[in-house]
Amino acid sequence: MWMFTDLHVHSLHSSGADTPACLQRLARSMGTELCLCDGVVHEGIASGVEVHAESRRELLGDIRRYWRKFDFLIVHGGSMEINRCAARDSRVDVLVHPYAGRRDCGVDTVVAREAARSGVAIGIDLEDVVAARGAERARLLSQVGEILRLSRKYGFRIAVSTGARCRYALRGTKEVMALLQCIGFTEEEALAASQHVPRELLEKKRLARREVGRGVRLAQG
Amino acid sequence: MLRAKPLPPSLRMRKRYVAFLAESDVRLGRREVGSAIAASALALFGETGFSELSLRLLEFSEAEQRGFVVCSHNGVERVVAAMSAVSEIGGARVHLRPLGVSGTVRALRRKFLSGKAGFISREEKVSLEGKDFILRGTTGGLCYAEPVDEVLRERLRILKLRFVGALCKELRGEEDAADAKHGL
Repeated sequence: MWMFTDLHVHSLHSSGADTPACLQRLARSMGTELCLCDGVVHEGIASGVEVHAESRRELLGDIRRYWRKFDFLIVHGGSMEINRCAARDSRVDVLVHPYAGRRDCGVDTVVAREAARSGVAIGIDLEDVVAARGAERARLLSQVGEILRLSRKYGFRIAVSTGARCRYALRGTKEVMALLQCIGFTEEEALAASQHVPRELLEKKRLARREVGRGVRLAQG
Repeated sequence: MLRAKPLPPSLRMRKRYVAFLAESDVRLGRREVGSAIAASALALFGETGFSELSLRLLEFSEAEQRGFVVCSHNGVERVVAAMSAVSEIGGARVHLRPLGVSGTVRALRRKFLSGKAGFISREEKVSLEGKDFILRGTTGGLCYAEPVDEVLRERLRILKLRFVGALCKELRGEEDAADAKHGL
């Protein structure tokens, strides 16, 4: 049975409010697989890092510094320069909320083509949608709809996460499926975005970290 | 007084009951939970969509912070979505976690609302990862503690929370602070 894999959760170690063990206990009780992106390696939990960069140069430096250290690497999007640079780099796993602080969705045809080519997933945080109200939520939903439309056309992957900074922002598998179907995802798209794509990203990184040279990978065991 | 004749069973609305648990740092009342669910459904689906759900809060226990709503059988997914889209009530962060769906109240109570639940209040000085906290309560193996540290209090204020969540075994009482072996 598939379960929601949440790639974007912060614990007390970064900007969150709960300990990793507490979040893991709650996530398990909801039927969610928890991954933390605190920039800290946690024992027994898939650990990633969220990169906030102001410029392309800073972003590339951070990617080079972190991508082998963690199970996954997320880039905080927003400016078109960062969105394009992150979508082009196959070391990035997820470009999360490319629409942050923008009126458009932050994904143009260039970003869409590059993301499809390099395998970078475009990330949507449910916390953005849940916490917003009225016109702000309507704007966010139209941005998400635009990303979904471009994904159907260009074939890039979408990864849905909660973006949780506290225990009350975590969501269970059924809740995520229900929310995604409400905002325009088909059942197959919701399954892929919440379950298949995050798992594929973790698996891809696990294999990539075992590469010792171009096309050469350490055998298991 | 003339009463309306009941509809035959084949014409009655097919109901589903959705049990949920209200998780929050504050104790919530029946009225505010009911209006938060209705407001969320109304915001997500509009007036016509909301009317199709036939959504109503039937019961909410303030002691256990759980209850159930009734809705039409084809609106369960949308009711779950509306409940999970509730992020705060009265300025406090909440999560209305769906526990399960059933076709009768009796089965719902038996399956999802039979065990004990609720917040057990406590007050004790504890430490977590070298920082001082005041333990305020426990529920289901989890502890909720108020930080003494001003930076952490500010972070919680921004997140609309009062307490930090931790496993009970992660917190240590004053007498255990020097010895990392024992949990509370």
